Amino acid sequence: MTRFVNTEDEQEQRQDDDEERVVSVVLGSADQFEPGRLRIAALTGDGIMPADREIGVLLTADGRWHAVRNLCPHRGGAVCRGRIRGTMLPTAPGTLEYGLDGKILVCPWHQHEFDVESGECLFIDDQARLVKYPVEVADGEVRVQVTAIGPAVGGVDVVWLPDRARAALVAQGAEAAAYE
Amino acid sequence: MQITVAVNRYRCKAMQKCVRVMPDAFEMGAAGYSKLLRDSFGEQDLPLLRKAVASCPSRAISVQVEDEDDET
Repeated sequence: MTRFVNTEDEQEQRQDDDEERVVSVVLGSADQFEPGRLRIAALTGDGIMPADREIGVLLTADGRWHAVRNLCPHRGGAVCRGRIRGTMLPTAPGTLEYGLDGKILVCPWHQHEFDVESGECLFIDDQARLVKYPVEVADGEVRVQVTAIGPAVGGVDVVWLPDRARAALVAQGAEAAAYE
Repeated sequence: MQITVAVNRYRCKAMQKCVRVMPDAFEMGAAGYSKLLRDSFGEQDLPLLRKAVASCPSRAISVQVEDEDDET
């Protein structure tokens, strides 16, 4: 007798058997990014894995680039729609210290805080961490490396999704196109 | 009893629930997807494997159990 638990359909299994390859995607010019603003890029085409199709890109005030998957490991929320801020640091009893300003990403669903440098969650002591992508700036262009499967067909299209900062500006009546 | 476990990378969203349930069987790969650490599983692993399957929100883990007396 053969028993199955959550057997995948044949089509997905074939996709799963395809070879992995790394794709370097040009996100745009580095001068389009403001320090402290997390922007969300939607990637389509060329066998990009489903979970890698939305990536948050952040330039921190100290000039470091970070790219994270737009998926909270806690409950799967769109973590990159959250705020970038600091956090209260562990200190001695009776003292309060705010730190890591501009390096903490707060998931909008349950307010879990993640260190964008390491991807670690500051709330829960387990292995849940943000998935990070290698990101580099070369010749003024921001490039991120993501995983794709199957043969390379065409290129990757990049569309910038509305982020928290842009939504706030639009709500204030600002011209959204000026912030793209 | 032969137990075959597979992780569908196309479905995996790296919620890392399987890693928490069975850290000796699953790990997060460099590409950000769950990977199997072992090739073989025994009957004693089935309870945790079922828990891993149930905990995966994207249903990316499949477990196939074949009994030895299977004639097909």
